[in-house]
Amino acid sequence: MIPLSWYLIVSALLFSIGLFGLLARRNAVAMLMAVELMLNAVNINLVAFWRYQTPEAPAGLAWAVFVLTIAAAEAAVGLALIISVYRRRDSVIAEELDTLKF
Amino acid sequence: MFAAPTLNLWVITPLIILTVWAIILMFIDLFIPAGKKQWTGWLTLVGLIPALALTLMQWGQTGGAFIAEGGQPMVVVDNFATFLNTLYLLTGILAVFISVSYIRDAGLERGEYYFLMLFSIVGMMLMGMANDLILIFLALELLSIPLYILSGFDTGSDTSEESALKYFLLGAFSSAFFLFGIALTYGATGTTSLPVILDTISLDDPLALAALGMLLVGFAFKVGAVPFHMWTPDVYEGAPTSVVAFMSIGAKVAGFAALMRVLGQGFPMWGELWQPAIVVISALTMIVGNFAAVRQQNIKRMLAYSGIANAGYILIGVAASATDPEAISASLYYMLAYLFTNIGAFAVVIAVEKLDGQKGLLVEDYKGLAKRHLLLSLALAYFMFSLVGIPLTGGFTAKFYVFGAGVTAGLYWLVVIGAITSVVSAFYYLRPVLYAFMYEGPAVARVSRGLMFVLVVAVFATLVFGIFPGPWYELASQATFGNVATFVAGG
Amino acid sequence: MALPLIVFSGFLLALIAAVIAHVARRATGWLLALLPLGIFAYLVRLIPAIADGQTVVTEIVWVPSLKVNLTFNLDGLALLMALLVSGIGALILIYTSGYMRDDPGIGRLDAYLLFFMASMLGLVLSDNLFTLFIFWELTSISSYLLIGFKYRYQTSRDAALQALLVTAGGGLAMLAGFVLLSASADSATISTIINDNLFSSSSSMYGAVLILILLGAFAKSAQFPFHFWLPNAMEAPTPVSAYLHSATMVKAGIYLLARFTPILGGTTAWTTIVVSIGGLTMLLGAYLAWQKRDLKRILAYATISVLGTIVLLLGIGTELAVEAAMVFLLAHALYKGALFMVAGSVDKAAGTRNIDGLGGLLAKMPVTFVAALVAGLSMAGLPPLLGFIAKELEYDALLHEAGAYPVLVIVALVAANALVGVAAGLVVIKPFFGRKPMLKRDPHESPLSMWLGPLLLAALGLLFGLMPALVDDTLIVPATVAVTGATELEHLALWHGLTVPMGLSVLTIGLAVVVYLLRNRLQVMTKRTTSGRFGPAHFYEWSLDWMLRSADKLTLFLQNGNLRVYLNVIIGTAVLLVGSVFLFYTLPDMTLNTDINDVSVIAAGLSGMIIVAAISATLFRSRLAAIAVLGVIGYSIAILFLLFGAPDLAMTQFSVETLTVVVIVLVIWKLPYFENLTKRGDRIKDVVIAVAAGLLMTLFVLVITATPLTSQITPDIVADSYLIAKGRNVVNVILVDFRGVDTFGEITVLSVAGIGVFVLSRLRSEKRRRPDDDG
Repeated sequence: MIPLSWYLIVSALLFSIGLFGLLARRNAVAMLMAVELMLNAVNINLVAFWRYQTPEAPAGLAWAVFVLTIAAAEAAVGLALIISVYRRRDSVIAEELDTLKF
Repeated sequence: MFAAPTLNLWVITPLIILTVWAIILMFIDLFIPAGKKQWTGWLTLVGLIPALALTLMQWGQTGGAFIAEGGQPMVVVDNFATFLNTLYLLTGILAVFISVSYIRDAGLERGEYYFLMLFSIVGMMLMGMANDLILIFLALELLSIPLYILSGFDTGSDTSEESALKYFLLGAFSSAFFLFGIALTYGATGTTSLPVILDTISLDDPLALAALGMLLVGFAFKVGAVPFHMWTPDVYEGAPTSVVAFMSIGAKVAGFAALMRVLGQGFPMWGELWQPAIVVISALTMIVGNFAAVRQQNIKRMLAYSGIANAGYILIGVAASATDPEAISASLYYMLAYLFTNIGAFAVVIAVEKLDGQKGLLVEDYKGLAKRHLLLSLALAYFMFSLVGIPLTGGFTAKFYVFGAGVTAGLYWLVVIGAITSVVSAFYYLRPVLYAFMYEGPAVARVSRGLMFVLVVAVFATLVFGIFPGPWYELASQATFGNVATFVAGG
Repeated sequence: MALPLIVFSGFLLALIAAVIAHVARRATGWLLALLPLGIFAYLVRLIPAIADGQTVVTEIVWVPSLKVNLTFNLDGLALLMALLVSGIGALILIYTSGYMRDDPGIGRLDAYLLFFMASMLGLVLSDNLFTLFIFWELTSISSYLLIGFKYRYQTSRDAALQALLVTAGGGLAMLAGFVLLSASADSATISTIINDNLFSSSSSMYGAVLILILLGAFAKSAQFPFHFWLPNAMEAPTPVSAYLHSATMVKAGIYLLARFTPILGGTTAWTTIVVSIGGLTMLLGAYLAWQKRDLKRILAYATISVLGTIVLLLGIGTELAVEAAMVFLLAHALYKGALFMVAGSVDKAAGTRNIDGLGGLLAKMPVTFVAALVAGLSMAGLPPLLGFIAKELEYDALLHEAGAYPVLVIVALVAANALVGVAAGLVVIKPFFGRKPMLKRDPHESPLSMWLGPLLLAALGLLFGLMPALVDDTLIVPATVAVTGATELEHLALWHGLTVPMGLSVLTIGLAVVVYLLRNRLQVMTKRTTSGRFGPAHFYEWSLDWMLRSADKLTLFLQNGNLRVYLNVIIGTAVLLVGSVFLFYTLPDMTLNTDINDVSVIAAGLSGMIIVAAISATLFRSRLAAIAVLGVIGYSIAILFLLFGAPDLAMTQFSVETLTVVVIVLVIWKLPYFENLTKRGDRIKDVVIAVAAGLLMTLFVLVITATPLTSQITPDIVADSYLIAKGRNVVNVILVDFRGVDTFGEITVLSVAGIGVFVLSRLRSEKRRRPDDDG
C-alpha cells in the first residue's frame, strides 16, 4: 500500500490549489468551485486517516459523509445567491462587489 | 466495550421543539394567505416560548446525551449551555417582535424568514452544547446557512445580495479552513470527541496547538474578531436591519460559546499558551473596532464596528479565564447585558429607517429626532450611553466586570486599552444622540407595537442590569465551567 | 436615611423641574431653591455634631459582587463641600430665574442644575470608591449638558465635548486607579481603607494608583496640562460658570486629593508631583488671567490659578497647609461665585462682557457694584475679608516648612496672588468706573433675584473675615481634621501682628498695584508668549484631528470592500497564527516514507490526476471545461474511497458529485464566461500566500504521520453494529444510530439549504412582478 503520508500530501496540495483558486479566480462561481476543492481535500484526509489509523471506528467515514452533504448544501445556497446577484448586476465578478466598504 | 448510545432526549428537548415546530410551521404557512404572513411571525413564538421555558427548567441540571465511541456524550447540557441558550431564545423572541412589522413594511414578508430564524437558533444552541467536533461543525453550518440566506433576503435593495454573497464566500472559506484543522486533529487522535481528544493530545505535540489555532480562526471569524472581522461591516450594512439585529447577537454569542467551551473546558491547562493569542486578538479588536467606527456615517455600519469592538471587550474575560476559570462569568454577563442594549439600539435604527430605498440610515438622519419623538430619542441616548459604558447602564456594569476580571488576572495593559478605547467610543456613540437632541432636522420615526415592546423591554433590562447587576452576575458565575462536572461514560 | 434622601431628592426634582417651570413661570427659581435650602438647613443643624468629631454614616447594600455599596459618610470635609454645593446651589437657582427670565429654556437649565447638584452631593458624600466614581462621571455629564446648553452654537458644542472628553477621560483613569486600589486593599470603602490602613505607600501598586487617581483629579480641577477646557467652558450660561466652573465642580478634583491624602499622601512622589503641578498651574493661570479682555475668561483663568494654589497646598500636606487650603477653598467659592454672577448681571445689563467696552456702570448698578467690590477685595486678598485670612495662612504654612523649595514656592505664590489681584482689579474697576462707552442697550440695576446671590456671598466673605471664629471650629477645623487627622490647629484670626506673612501680604498687594498700573505696557511684552500655538489645547486639537485622520486611513486600508483583500488578510493571519506554533516546538523526525515498492498503480494514477485536474480547474477559462474537471476530481476521489474499502461512502460521493456538477452546469449556462484571473502582480501574491498555506498544511500532515497515534479508544464498532443496531451497512448504522444527533443536524442543514434556494428564487420572481422595481 502507498504510505499514508502520500495521500495526505495529495490532500494538502489539493487544499492549496483550492486556496489559490479562491484567491486568483475573479468569477464567484469559480471561487465557489475552489471552496469545493478545499472540502474535497478535507474528505481525502478524513478517509485516509480512517483507513490507515482507525479502520475499526468509522467516525472518519461518518464525518466524510457529513462533509459531502454539507458541501452540497453550501454549493446550492451559494449558487442561488450568485444567481441573485447576477440578475441584479449582470456580473458575478468578485471585485465588482464593492459597493459596501469603509 | 462499546455501548449502545443512551438517548437522554431531555437534554435536547428545546432543540427538538424548535425544529419540529419549524417544520410544522412550514406546513401551516402554506395555508396563511400572502398578506397575513405576520401570523407566521407570531406563531414562531409558539415554538420559542416553550423552548425558553424548558431551557429555564434545565438550569442547574447537568447531563449529556448521545454517547459516542469513546464513551463521551456528543451533546451536553450544563449551566453554561443553559445560560447561553436562554440568550439565543431571548434574542429570537425579541427579533420576532422587531421583524414582524419591519419585513412587512420592507416588502420581504415571507414565512420562510421565520423558519430560517428558528433553524439558525437551533444551530446556535448546538454550538454551546456540542461536545464533539463533528457536531460543532454541523452546528456552525446550521447557524450560518440560514444567516447567509437571510442576509440576502432583501432582493429589493442594491446591497443585500452583495452582503449575502460576501458573507457566504468568506464563511464557506473559513468553514473549510476550520474543517481542515479539525480533520488534522482527527488524524492525530483518531477521535472527534472533544474530551477524548484532550485526554489524548499532549502538550509537547505542536499539532494540538496548531489545531487549536485553526479552531480559533473559525470562531474568531464568527464572533467578528480582528483581523477576521472584515465581513461584519459589509454584511451589517447590506442585510435587512432586523436580520442584523438578530445575528449581531446570536451569531456572535454562538461563536463565543464554542470558543469558551473549547478553551475553557477543553484546553484550560494550556492557558498560558492560548492566553497571549487571545490577548493580542482582544487588543486588536478593541482598537480597530473603535477607531474604524469613529468615521462611520451609516449607523448600521457604525453598530457593526461597535459589535466588533464589543467582541474585543468580551475577549478580555476570555483571556482572563486562562488563569482564573471564574473570569468567564464576566464575559457571560457582558453578553447578557449587551443583548438588550444592542437589540434596543437596532430597534431605534429600525424605527428611524425609511424602507423606501434605504434612507434614514445615516447618522445625520437623526437630526431633530427629539423634537418629534422625545421618548424614542431618550431610549436611543440610553442605549448609546450603555454602549459607551456610562454608569447606571447595563453596559457600564458589564464593562466593569470584564475590566475587573482583566485586572484580577493581571492583564493591566489590556484593561488600559479597553478604557482608552471606551473613551474613543464615546465619540461615535454620542453622535446620533447629539444630532437627535441638539440639531434641527426633519427626522421622523415610526414605532410599531412590536418595536415598542422591544424598546420597553430593552430599556428596562438595561436599567436593571445597570442598577442591580448583582443577582444576574450571580447567575453568570454559576454558569462557569468550575461548576460543571466532567462527563464520564455511563453504562 | 437622611443622606441618601439628600442626594436622590435632587435627581427626582430634576425630573419634574421642567414641569414646575412650566407652571410656576417666574417663580420657578425661588420654588426650586427650596430643596437646596432645605438641604443646607439640615446640614447646618449637623455642624455641632460633626465639629464634635462624629460622622453620619448610611449604608445600603447595592451590588455586593462589585463591592459597590451605597455608603454615604458625612465628615468635616464632606460637610464643608456639601454646604457649599447646597447653599450656592440655592442662590444660583434664584439667580437663574432672573438671568433666564422669559426664556423658555429655563426649565431645562434648572433641571440640569439640579441634576448636577444631586450628583455633586453624591460625589462628596460617597464613601465607596465606585459610587464616588459613578457620581463623578454624572457631574461630568451634567457639566457637558450645561456647557452645551446653547447647543445651536458650534462653539458651545465643541466646548462641551472638550470638557466631557477631558474630565470623563480623567475619570476613567481614576476608575482604573480605584480598581487597583480596591483590589490591593481588598475593600472599596474609603473610610475603611483609611481607618484600617489597608493600603500603604509601600504597596507595589502605589505608583500606579497614585498616578491614575491624580490624573482624574487634575483633569477635573483643570490642572496643567488639562487646564484648557475650563476657559472654553465659559460658553455655558453664566449661572453655570458661577456654580460648576468656579464654586463647586472644579473643586471635585481638590476634594478627591483631600479625601485621598490619608491614603496616598505624605510620600515624596505625592509631594513632588502635586506641588509641582499645582504650582505650575497657579502661575500659568495667574499669568494668563490679567491679559484677557472677557470678564468671564479673566475669572476663569483666575480660577485655574486658585485651583493650582489649593492643589499645591494639599501637596505640601502639613496640617497648616491643609487648613490654608480649606480656608482658601471656602473663600474662593464665596467670592468667585459672587463675581461670576456679577459678570452675568453686567453682561445682561450692558450686552457685552468685554472690559474694554464697559465702564461707568457704578451709577446704574449700585447694588451689583457693592457685591463686586466686596467680593473683588476678597479675591485680591485685602483685609478684612476672608480672602486675606486665607492668603496669610498660605504664607504662614509655607514659612513653617524647612528647606529650599518653600522659598521658591513663596516667590511663586506672591507672584500668582499679585496677578490674581490684578485680575480682581480689572473685574471690579473696569466695568464700574471710568468713561461710559457707547452701549447697545441702556443698562439698569438687576432685579432682586440677580443681586441677592452675589451680595449675600460677598457679604459672607466679609462676615467670615471679620469674625473668623464663625467658620473656624465649625467648618475649617473639622474639614482639616478629616484630611490630616490632626488635633491641634491654629485658630484663624484677622490680625496676627506684624509678622512675616503680614509683610508678604503687603508685598503682594503692592506688586498687584504696580502691575495693574503698568498693565498696558507689560502686555506688549507678554503678548508673544500667549499665542498658545504649542500649548496643551493645541495638543488636544491635534490629537482629535489625528484620531480622525488615522481612523480614516485605517478603515480605508482594512475595509475597501474587496473580497479578495479580506481573504488575503484572513489566510495570512491564519498562516501566521498557526505557523507560529512551530516556532515553539522542535519538530519530530519527519522522514517521508519512500517505501513505495508496493505501489498501487491505480491509486497513484488517481492522485496524480486529482492534482493535475485541480490545477487546470483553477486555470481554465472555459466554464464547461472547468466544471468537467471538477467532476473528474470528484469521481477520482470517489474511486479513491472505493480503494480504501468504503463503497458506501464512494456511492455517496458519486451521487453528490453528479448532483453538484449538474446544478453548477445549469446555473452557469446563464452566467457569463469566466474572466481572466487576477492581474499578474496580484497573482504572484496569491501564489505566495497559497504556497505558504500549502506548506503549512503539508508540514502538519508530516507531523501527524511522524507522531504515533495515541488514541485510547478504538472500540470495535463494526462488530457491534450488527449486534446492537441491527444493520449491515456500516455508514448507515453510524448515521442512523451511533451518530444520531449529527444526522439530525445534517438533515436540518440540508432542509435549510433547500428552503434557502427556494426562497431566493421565489423572492426574486415576486420582486420582478413589482412594476416600480428596477431589478
